[in-house]
Amino acid sequence: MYLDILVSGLAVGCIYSLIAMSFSLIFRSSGVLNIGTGEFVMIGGLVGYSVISSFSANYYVSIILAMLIAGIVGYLANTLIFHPIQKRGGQDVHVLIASIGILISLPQLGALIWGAEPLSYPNNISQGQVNIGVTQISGMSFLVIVLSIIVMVVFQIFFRYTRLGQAMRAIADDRIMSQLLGINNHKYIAFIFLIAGGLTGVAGVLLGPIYYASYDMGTIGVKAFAAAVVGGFGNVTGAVIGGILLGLIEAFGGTMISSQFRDLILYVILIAVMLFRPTGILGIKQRRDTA
Amino acid sequence: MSQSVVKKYGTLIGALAILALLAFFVQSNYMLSLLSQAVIYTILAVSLQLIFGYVGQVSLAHAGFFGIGAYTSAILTYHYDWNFVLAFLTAGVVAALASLILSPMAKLNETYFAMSTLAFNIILTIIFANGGSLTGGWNGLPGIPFPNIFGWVVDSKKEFFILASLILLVQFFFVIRITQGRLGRNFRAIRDNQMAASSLGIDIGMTKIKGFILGCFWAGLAGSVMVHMYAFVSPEPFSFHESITVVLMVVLGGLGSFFGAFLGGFGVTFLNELLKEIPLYRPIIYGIFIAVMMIFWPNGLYGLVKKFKKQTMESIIKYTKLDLNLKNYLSQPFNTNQTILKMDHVTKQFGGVVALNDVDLEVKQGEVFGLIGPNGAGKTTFINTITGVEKPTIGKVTFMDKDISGKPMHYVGEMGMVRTFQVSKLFNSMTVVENVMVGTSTMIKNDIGLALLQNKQFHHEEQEAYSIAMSLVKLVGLEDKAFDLCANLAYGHRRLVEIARALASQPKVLFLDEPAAGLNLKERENLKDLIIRLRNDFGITIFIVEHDLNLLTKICDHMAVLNFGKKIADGLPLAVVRDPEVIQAYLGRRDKKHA
Repeated sequence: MYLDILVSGLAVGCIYSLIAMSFSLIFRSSGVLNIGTGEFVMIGGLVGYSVISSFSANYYVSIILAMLIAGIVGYLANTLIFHPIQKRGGQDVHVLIASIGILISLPQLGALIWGAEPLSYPNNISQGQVNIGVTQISGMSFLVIVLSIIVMVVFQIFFRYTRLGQAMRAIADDRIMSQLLGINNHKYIAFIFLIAGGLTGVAGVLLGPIYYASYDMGTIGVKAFAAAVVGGFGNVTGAVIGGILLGLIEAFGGTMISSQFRDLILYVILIAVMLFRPTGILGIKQRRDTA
Repeated sequence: MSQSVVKKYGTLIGALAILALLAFFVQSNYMLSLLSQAVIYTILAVSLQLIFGYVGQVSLAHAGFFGIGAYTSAILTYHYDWNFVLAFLTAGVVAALASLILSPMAKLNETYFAMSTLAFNIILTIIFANGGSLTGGWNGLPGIPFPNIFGWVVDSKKEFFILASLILLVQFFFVIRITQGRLGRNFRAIRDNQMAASSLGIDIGMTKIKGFILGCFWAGLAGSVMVHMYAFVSPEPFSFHESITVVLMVVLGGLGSFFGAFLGGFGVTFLNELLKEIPLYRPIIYGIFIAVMMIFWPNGLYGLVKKFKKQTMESIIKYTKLDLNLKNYLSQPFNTNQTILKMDHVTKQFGGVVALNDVDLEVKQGEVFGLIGPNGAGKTTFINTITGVEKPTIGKVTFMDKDISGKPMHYVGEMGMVRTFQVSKLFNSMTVVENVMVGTSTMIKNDIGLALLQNKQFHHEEQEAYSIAMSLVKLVGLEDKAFDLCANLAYGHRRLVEIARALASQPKVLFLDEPAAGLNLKERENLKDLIIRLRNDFGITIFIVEHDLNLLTKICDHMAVLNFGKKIADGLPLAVVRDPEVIQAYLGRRDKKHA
């Protein structure tokens, strides 16, 4: 029983981690906090559903396609909205408000294309049960965990060992310095939006079979933001740890209180962390420069 | 006087005229009901304007606080048969109290605040929807009684419109007054530049909380009126989507303008009605609209209008200048041998980097103290550590015999240590005089209460603040620029405004962080004269961090040198510049082989 909850909590936690990574990557590199990040997850989940149900494609194909499309949406959000605002001297507040625009418009766009009814992924993706000792564990949760870990490892390798990834880390570390060293910031930041969008796309397709896919699934963004904050905002490793931690807390906490209030857990945690320790667990203590 | 009344309450008079005309001519119940809705949303938008446009916090929980007021009023009148007037006021108070929960977040930056308030609104919706028989769950509570205000039973559409309009007018009166005195100036100062506001002794957290609570109070009142109008309450109008609609109203109307909020409230309500046939497309249109607006007209509709008006004269009510003796205001006791500021073994580390290493220093009252050092010597960290931007890792800072190490910046500022910044931090949306007036914040007392009353004391204080500011502007030689917006000032003038602003807070010690950087020769000469005058005429202790040795040796009474976080010399200027270690730090070591 407990093992079952543990695994399903881990699975959801991994999904939170992926979205939290997207939040952190974008924030670190461009200073944009995109409140609408959750809506890219929705795009991923619904695109994945369409690919599977309309073309009866393989689950893995749908992951790749959803990643691609959510990535493009993320890229467009930057080139069409965030970058122009910043280029015209807009401040953080303006970027924030524009991202609120994304938060309200994308779900309706999703509802227009896919309808307002929740869509269930076909249940033949991973029907099997994994037996550990006497307990049986849902194969889907297992698959989600394995796939998330693969994605995270691939991204780590990308950031550590490729030239592109290293340039991106440099930008995330110090935007101005990396520009002075001759990195074309704009180009790379656009790329980061592409990649971060891709991460949320994967998260959407992984989330679909666990719950369902629907136009209003984007509110998961707020929970994932809670994960990013708990791990220390802007810290990618922290995002992973925070996501898994919150997934587990939600899974175990959910067994203790009635299902209507289950959703409250993470929102309350977000507010509590903001009230008492806004730097999070692994928060980077930044030097406050006066200049 | 009559002219200034028009200027002051123009928005109010305009709104009154429009609302009275509407109340008189509009007869159709459909139209009246729509107008009442618009008025209620305008109340909401104006209250958010206070939080968002004035204090600069993006609250995405405003519909939630609206809902708290609505449910409080509904539950009290429906379940407990309270009188409307009492329930109405309680609704505002409960919403204000609920906002206290979030108030520690006021210190966070706007993006964190936005996200947390979004979460808070989702929590509220879940609570409203699962409140059992108390809130009626998703089905809501029908049959909320009509208001009975001391015998006036409000039960027709027209009466509701009149009631809502009256509340809006009272609110307009409230917000116009509240934003006029010291508090309103501080709100705008914080919105423009938090660190500068804090350096002048303004408690950022506390001021932001005040704005937030006042805004939420009015949101609660608006909620109460709404449920009694519809005689029904359910969770839908209080979801975070509605919060975003209110944000849209404020953004559309233009940040920082109450008249803009009025335009936004009416505009969006009617736009909603217009797009009623295509509800699915509405959020898409709004979303795209918000994004496009942020790119092209970030200042909203009101900003567009304002562009064509002369900006400078309208924001300040001119007082006649009092004949004021600047000397009485600024003078410090001339008592030179007393230590005013002392640092004991102060060390500051950032991770592994030691920015300050065991620094001892003593500043005497009434002297000009110069601190020099090559780039990266830790000079700015030094000022930051004294003025409360950073906490010393080890060591103690004593100011006027009080231990101030690790105390927050506004505390240090209020005690009388005020600074300028290496890169001028002015309140760009305010005029030069207003900037300087912000500096008087710790000297004058008017707050919410006095700003509402606007009695003799309030006017006297404001007049005094204005006169002091004008005299200081004159002292630094900017009287012809007094009513210019700071955003349009030249570099050298910005530095002078900053000094005048710091002086307005009656500093005991004035910290100048590289004041001469980027000034031309003539400006440097003026600066030198000004500093000498501040010391000789007013006895203000001046702590100056500079690169310009020429300037420093001319004006300093005492000088110290930092290098790699260590103090390497301390003494009279001429002795210090001849110190071999100092020369070596500045010019480099001669190669040992040749030595």
